[in-house]
Amino acid sequence: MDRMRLIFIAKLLPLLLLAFTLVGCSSDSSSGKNPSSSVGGAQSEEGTPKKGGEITIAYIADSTNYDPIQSSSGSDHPLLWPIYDTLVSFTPELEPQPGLAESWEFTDDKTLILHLREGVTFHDGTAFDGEAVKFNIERINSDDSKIPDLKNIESVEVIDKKTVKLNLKVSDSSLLLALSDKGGMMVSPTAIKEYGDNFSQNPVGAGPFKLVNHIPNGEIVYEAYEDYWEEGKPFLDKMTVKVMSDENTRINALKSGEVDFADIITPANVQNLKSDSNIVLKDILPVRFNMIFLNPSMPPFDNKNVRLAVLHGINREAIVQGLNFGQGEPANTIFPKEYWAADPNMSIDYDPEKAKQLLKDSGLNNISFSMIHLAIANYTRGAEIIKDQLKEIGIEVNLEPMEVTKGTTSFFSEQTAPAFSTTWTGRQDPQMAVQLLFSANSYLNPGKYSTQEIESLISKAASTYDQKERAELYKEISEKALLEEAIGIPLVYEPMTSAMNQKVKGFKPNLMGKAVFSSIWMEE
Amino acid sequence: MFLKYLARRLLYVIPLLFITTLIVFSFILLIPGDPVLALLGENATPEKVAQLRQQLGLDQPIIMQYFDWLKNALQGDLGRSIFTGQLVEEAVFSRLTVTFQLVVAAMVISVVGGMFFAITSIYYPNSWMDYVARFFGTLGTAIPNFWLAMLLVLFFSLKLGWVPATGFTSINDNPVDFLKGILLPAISLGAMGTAQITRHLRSSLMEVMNADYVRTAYSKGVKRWRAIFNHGLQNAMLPVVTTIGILFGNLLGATVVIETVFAIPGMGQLAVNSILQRDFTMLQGVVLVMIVLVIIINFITDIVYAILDPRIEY
Repeated sequence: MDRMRLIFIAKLLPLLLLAFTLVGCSSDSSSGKNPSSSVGGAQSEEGTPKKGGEITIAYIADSTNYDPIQSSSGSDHPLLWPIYDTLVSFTPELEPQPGLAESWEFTDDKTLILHLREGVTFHDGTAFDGEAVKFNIERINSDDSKIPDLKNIESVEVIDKKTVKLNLKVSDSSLLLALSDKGGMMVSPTAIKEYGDNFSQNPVGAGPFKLVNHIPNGEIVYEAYEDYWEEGKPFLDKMTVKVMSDENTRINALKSGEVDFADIITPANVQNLKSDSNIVLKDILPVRFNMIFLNPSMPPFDNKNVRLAVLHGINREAIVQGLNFGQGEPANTIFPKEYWAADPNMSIDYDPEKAKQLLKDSGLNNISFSMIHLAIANYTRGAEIIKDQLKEIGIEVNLEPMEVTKGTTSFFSEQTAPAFSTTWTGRQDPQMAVQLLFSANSYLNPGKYSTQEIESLISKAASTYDQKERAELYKEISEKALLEEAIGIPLVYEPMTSAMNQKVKGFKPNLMGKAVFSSIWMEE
Repeated sequence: MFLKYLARRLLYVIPLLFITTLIVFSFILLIPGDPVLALLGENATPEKVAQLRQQLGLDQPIIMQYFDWLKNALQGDLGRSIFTGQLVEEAVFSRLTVTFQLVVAAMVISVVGGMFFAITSIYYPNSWMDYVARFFGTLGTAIPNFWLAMLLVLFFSLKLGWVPATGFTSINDNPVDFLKGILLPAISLGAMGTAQITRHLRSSLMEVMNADYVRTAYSKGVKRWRAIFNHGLQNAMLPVVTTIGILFGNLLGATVVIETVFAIPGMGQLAVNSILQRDFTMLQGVVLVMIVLVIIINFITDIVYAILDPRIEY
């Protein structure tokens, strides 16, 4: 009897140990003292920036390439911006501001004059001047380049050392902000000649930081560039970025103090981090949002009524509440409310009755379609919610979970399914957004579907440089493309959240949702 | 005789390498999702896609691509990453030292832990220690290593703050930091090995301890621990050597998960990222090196086998 008891206890012991471990840990996260004090807000009251110190950052992925013309992912920017200053810079609200070009003017619709900053050098000592700009833009438009944003520049004329003239093929209102993207990242012409194919391993730009060590997919080490043109900047002496693809790993590293800053935290984990009084969260609703891409050349979406039924049959507020714990907002248009190009009054009504009527009008019975979605926990739950909501109005959705590359290939290239639930990552300039989402010749519009009216509005917006007039045009385009044609189905905006310890100051999230690390300074 | 055995084992390796690389090469290119699209990402246009596919030689039949690759690989040229432009052999070998340290640490934990549990369990049969050992033997196999890793991190890093939650320091740079950093990943990785070795060694020890020669040793007055260590263990190790050989391959495979959880820049993490990016040149390099490693270890296992037991012939 005694031995039986011993055996029983012996078998139970490890389980008990495990249970204690779990209990011990969960009590930690629930013991947060003042949950609200750690959240956002402090941006303006962070004091005067201090020079010196270093930071370690956990980031989701390595750059696909450190040569801007070879870089292909939207998540590369935060790792490239420290090395490469751009011709034009941007504010957190995504309005252009002086970068390596101090000022600019459009002399006519198709001519842009850039006045370059003086006294700027690349990290290898090469002077930044008109010839360097010409070299770079021609390189960006060469066959080796993967950047399509500047194809509209026909030629670059160097007027003098500090002035260049860009001649455009057609007028292009997105050009300025395109020059703040990868297309505007200036690399040292000397370094290109010196390193050739190996440039991506030895990147040289004119940004605030030099890349001094790089373990691909492991660690990226930056050091301040001592001859940086802007007096007093950068604040930090050194910046180390550690690549941690798993979100829990990033959070653990932050909590245990191995990193000072963890980027890209999803809504589910924001709740958990809010209760930790040592951690500061900063977030923003960026121009990126979750949406369903449709292919209007495939049934059932070749029928406009079905597209519109899907548009009105989805309860976006329920997704915000159910999936994202109330964080973020329904996507009623293709831009977030605070953005200058947005129409804050536009609304996509959730109206199941209207949706059912639209399905009746379509003349089709037993409507069903296949929808590809990313096989990532949050997307899977989102797709299941949509399936459920559309079932209510009488549409059967077959879900096809896929990993990112496979999903992208299947929907955009092979066109194996008429719908794809994913994220639209947004662009610096609204012109690029409407062009890519709604124009028939866009790669992201596999059905090549648009209307004459929408196309002509997009062209008109391209040749309009006044911001107010542009905003009006984007409102009109969004209304036509979404409410009348339902070329795509916006779902919800999710906040982009960065988490950091209390020593990290000066970080400002921007509407791109892509971190600019070089404004950071460290307290103490 | 031994040399002949050695030569024959070596000859087996050649077709094995050829067949496994061919299979792996084809599988990698058959992974759904176009590497060119992954490469172009947000900049994809139909013209660029076609141009790049030709540049990368992806418009060739797979068998042609394989022989091109094999020809270069035999000359030690594994190509460049289609993403970063980094030389594949450089990337793989810099990662290899990291993964090697991790796998060896996990191996040490497996062997030491496994022998400890097995021997205690035999020394005190049917005692509570025996049951604890047997319980761990089951638990280690049953618990997924990533889950164990998360629990260990929660408790020892976040709660107690004894060891870091992520990262890796090479033993050459700082042995103390190395030990601190490697502890949790090695335990998570080695739990499975500990369990397997416990089970195998325990059962084979049990068999050996009932053998006639051990009984003879007892009757000559040999002490129990001496009988286990001097008489039992040597003969019971044979199946354990096989387990260790197999374990090495398993551990190498399991680094894929553990390195991601602990943000260790090793081969496993490189493999995962290469798959997600469809960086097929890098992936081919990683898999090739892993295959070669496993083949080498199996080869060594066979030889150790022959040394441990001279009666063995194949």
